[in-house]
Amino acid sequence: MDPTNLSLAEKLQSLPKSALYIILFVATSIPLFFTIPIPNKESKASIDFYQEVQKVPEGSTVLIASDWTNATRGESAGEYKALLRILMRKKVKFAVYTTADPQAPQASKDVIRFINDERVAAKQKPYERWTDWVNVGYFPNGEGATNSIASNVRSAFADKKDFSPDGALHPVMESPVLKNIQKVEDFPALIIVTGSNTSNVAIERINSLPILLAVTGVMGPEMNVYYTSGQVKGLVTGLKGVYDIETLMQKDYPDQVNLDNGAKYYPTLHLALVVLIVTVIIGNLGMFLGRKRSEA
Amino acid sequence: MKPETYQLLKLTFGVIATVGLYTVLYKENKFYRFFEHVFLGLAAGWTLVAIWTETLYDSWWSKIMGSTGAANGYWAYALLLPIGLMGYFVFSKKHNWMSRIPIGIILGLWSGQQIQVWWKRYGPQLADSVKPIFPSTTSSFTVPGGSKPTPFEAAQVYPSQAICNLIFVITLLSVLSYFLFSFDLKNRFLKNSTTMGRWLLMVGFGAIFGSTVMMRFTLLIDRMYFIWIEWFMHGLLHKG
Repeated sequence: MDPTNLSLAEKLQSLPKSALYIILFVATSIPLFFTIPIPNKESKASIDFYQEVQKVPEGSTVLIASDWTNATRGESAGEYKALLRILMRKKVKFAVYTTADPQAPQASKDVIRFINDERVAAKQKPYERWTDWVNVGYFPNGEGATNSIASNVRSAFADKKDFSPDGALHPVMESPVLKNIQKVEDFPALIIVTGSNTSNVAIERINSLPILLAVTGVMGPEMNVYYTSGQVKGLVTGLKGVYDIETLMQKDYPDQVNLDNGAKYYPTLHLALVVLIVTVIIGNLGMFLGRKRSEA
Repeated sequence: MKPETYQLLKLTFGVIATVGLYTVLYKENKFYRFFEHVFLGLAAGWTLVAIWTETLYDSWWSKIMGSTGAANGYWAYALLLPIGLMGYFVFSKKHNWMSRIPIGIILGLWSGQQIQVWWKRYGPQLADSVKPIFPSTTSSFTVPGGSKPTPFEAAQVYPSQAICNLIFVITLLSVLSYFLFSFDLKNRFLKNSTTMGRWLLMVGFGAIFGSTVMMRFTLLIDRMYFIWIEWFMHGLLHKG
């Protein structure tokens, strides 16, 4: 059909797909080059998450399930960075395991290295592998592994090894991070950063210590049920959650690097949503005009 | 090779792969197919190595071989291999009965967990669903802010909370009534309740869909950040 013969309604409903993609790519690129402050009111779930992490005593060890990979880097990396910055500033040790994906330990190690580089640049002591944190690694059977962790964490981690300062692999339970852990209740919290259903698996099997969740946006509505029922003590959801935590950190640690992925991506998300809303309105307007014309 | 050069090469390959995968938005093409297969190959290879190095080697192989001193005497673990391999007989018409043995073991393990799993997941939610819908105090319409409330104040139900609870209970009951499929709903009250349940479910699905759209946008924004800031600005121009 000759496009010049199309009515306004037909034109509005047949915008070329390629043009929409180009508009979206431009809208999600340009704001990244600018610092655009966005006012924020932190959600109660994010505040609870932040406060629960702040409650963890200095020198203790938290258990982190880092169940995300590059597939959800946009949201999960921001959550993980913010979490690690808080833990490191509070001098809390952490043991990281995953039941989600074999690539997850590498994603976790990349972020730890990034934050450590940042600490070195700020003339702060880097977090040492083995003495300050330990990589427990990947467990292929999420349900079985989580059951095992809940019933006997020493046995569950017994075969897992990590590099000590001598460059050799040693059992993680011998590390300064985990040597005092006898049972899962000895961890002050289990913090799950996830882009999959490993949060469900943990909630279904572990209820003897506080669980904190940092999940992707798409998981938010489902996970909110666990937050309102008290099954999890704090919940960070998607990019808004990342920005919430970053703004909360900005109040407590004003002289340090707090604003990262959340502050960088949040304005861009707003522009992308404006593009989406405008295109939905244009499409509906075209449909409305088309119907009116056919009725006439 | 200098570390900076290696880092830039790594980033550049990442950018080419990202752009390659996005070309499918234009149309199906060989460039996209190539990077799709590279991605699948990398993921499969990584998974195989990770399962061996992080799990099978220490938890299974070393124990059978006695290569970790404290863990000798686990020779019986070798029997797990043929049991696992029986699963592949699912492809044989003659011997597919053998695949039911490992499947049965997995089903048994799974089923054994379900009572605990169900109760831990839904028990607290059932308990939390019993909410007071009448206020116990009218001293304030909303929960007083400011200083930390006393235990007595915290136990009170303020009118705003009672309204929220009422909305929750109405939503819960109407959505539950929507799933009453066992008999014909002729009662007008039940009919209206199921209709409201359907609408409220739609609201829930809308919230999930909205969150999904925001998440997908965030993933796109992250890729754009990778291309423009991490590769172009930091890697290529050494700015920022």
